[in-house]
Amino acid sequence: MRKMMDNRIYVDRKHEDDFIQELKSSPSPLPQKVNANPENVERGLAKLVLTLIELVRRLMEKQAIRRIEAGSLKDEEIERMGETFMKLERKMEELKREFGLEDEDLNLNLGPLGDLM
Amino acid sequence: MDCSESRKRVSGSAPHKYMYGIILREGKIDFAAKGVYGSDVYCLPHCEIGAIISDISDLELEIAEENILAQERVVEAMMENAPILPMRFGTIVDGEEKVLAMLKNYYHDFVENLQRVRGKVELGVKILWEPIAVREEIIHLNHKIKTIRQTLEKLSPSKRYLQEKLEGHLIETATQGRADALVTNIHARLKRCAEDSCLRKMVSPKMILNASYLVLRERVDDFRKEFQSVRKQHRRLAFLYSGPWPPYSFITVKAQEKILSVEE
Repeated sequence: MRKMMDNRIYVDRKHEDDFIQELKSSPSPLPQKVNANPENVERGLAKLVLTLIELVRRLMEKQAIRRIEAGSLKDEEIERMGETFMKLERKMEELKREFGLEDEDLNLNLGPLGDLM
Repeated sequence: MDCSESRKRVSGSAPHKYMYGIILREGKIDFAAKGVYGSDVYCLPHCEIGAIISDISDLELEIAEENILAQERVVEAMMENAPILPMRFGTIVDGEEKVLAMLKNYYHDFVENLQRVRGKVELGVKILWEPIAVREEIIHLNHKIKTIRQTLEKLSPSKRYLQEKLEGHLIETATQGRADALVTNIHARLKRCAEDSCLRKMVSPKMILNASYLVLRERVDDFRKEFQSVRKQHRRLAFLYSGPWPPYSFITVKAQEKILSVEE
């Protein structure tokens, strides 16, 4: 393994870049500043509302999937639920586009509990 | 040991105090390492503990490499001779009185933590795997997932949507299970050489383990040997080993979060 930083970091040379990538993309441990100004208040509110809708949507989908796995849904029920969830997903994509939000934006950091989703 | 002769405070010019850590005042404290912005570092004592601080004029510190390294160098120089609880980077307190108040209010917590980390260092282990390769393998080996894949084409769009979600869920569950088994096995082996540990699993799709181990100085070699043995056994994983560091991850005092709002 290659030694770096006065002999305190050991990593296989071929994996160095992978670790650098991973560590670069992890969230900063330093306290983040809240940037509140009139322009982004509306966007901030949309983000919060859409995050909660997304959470509920995912939970409902998960519940449906578990029921399919357990075999407790009839064919027509699967058909109907599938259509509803498909439409919901499309609507969410539309709303995200309208507010200029990406998938990664729709999440809440709960501090020591980690991210909501 | 009397800390008073080691104080090189410049009184009045810089009202705020930058905090490096809380030390158990036994043995000689090394004040040679310069603090942030090249400042002199000193010890504010209270009974057998003390706060390692330097004067700073702002209530905020620039997040720059030289400042981070300065803090680290100060803590590590002191760690050689006495147990120290390192502060999180950027901990600034509004005045010496507040530092003293903190030492008094959290005295028992600090002493308990200092005794617990005495003679120990922190070692870090991070492990990456190849999520794409793992996923391919899981799909290939899992009968249920294969069956779902084969039937997808024949389904209506609505049914297909949910079946694809089910497939995703099964792959995710199997992936988590495999990562969990790997991490449990590896962690059990490394833990045997440590006094304490804290870990996070599946930190990201690639990083299956990010762990810190509190190890007695005299057992660091044992730990390293066990780590090498684990590494040889798991050739498809990528390992990063780091340390020794001050015991950042093993402090159980909530003082840091309250420092900036400490009222007299």
